[in-house]
Amino acid sequence: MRRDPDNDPIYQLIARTCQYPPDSLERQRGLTRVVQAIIKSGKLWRDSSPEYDDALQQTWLYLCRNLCEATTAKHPYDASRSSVTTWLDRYLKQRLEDLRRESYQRRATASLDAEKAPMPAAPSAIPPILEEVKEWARTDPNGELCRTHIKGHPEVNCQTLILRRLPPRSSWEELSKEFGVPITTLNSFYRRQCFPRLRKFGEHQGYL
Amino acid sequence: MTYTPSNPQSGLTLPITSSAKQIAGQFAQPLMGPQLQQQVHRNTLAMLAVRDYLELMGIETDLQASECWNPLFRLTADVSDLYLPELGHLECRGIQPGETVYQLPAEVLADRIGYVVVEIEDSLRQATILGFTPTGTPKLSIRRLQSVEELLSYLHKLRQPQSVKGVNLSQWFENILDNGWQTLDYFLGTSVNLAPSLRSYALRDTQTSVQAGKLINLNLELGHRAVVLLIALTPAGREQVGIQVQVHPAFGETYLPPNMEITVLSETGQPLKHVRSRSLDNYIQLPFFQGYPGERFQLALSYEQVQWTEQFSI
Repeated sequence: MRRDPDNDPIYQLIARTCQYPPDSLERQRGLTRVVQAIIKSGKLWRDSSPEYDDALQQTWLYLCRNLCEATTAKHPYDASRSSVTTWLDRYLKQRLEDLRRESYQRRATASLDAEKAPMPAAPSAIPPILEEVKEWARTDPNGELCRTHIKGHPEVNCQTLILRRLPPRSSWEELSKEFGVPITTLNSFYRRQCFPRLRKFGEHQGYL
Repeated sequence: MTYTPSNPQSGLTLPITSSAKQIAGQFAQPLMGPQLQQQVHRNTLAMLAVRDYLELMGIETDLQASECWNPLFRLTADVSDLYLPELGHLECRGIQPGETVYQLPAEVLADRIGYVVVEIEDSLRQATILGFTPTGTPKLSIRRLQSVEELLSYLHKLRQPQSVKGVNLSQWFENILDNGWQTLDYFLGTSVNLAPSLRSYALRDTQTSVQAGKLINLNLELGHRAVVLLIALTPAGREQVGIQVQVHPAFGETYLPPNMEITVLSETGQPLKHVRSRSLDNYIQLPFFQGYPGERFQLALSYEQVQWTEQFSI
């Protein structure tokens, strides 16, 4: 294939981008522009297979990691050998093939399992995590949630706010109106006082 | 680096991966109700698209340290952030094609280094990172977002050591604003909803002076307080630049809270002059001062033991 890299705007963009060191702002900007230019050219391989989106993302990563220096590939992109889209198409089609094979194998295993295993239980309508948080906030085992409140507003405490923010969630606007406390105050209190307690409970329960 | 609104063409479109769909499906639970469920779904896809983009750029992210990764936070708060080690939480929000304004929930107006808006295609196959803004306002105007490339330079700037950080005021004369500084037009056109005091000030625009403002959120023990810091620069003969600094209330407030203090400090942090608000002050202003190109100073805004400072060079 005959090409003239000097007259190819994408090639010039690549040459400029690769002049800058990895991780520099100019390199990152250049890579962003290269991706945008390739998309805009419409020359990259496209199909409608379900594996395409994953394969494309892996291809962008391959481009950014190997355009100027070879980080994950054996050799970096060589403009004298092929256009950048040809180079990427080769990788993209390979990834598509791999992903298709994997998903075929997964389906094959899954159908074998299905023959042996009984039907899995239907997921419960209310996830246990919600019930557990509700229970914890309601009982407030050491009284800490109730004790921690906005200054001058004992009724606006972590217990109330956590319970009201659990689904079905009250909006901050509603809570602000109801308690006569500005939204920003509610939010700051919630973030600084209630988040850490939720986090601690979550860690204790092994959610995190 | 300029503050001109980003070209909509400058967005970056990335595929939505199967693992992103899977995570978004887990985060968006039916018990939230259909509307919130859809929004959480879009936000999660947006957050993961930004993560994928930053991975392409070699910028480190930490999902585990993101607030939205915590199922208990997700249950009770509308958060969709991506944690960038050493920098902070970057809020990522997904919109439907054609949306022009995005309503940011109250819980993400504080503790964020910026806000990225991502358009999620209806087919759920592609996500387009439209742009970002360093300052959160309840209503984000999509048209006024800064470009993806500006996000990159913003993140680089955040990473720089404090000593070389700083706002270069001489660039303002070339219409180059950064670090969250915006033209007054920006404030007058958005939901920051400046107080009448600043509106009338802005109207007194002179031919020679350059003005810019910055929305500052002071995160207080209880609640945060947003004000607009305004700087006007006037060339003052023999290369000197005259500097006027004012603090105005934001979000429709008429008065500043009492005992808010603005201080100008030397390069080394020596306080030079300060002004403190009394009750019912519409705004406060520092005495006019002048400086030569290359000179540096700091401004500090303090209220209730919370302080914001920024370095400037003339």
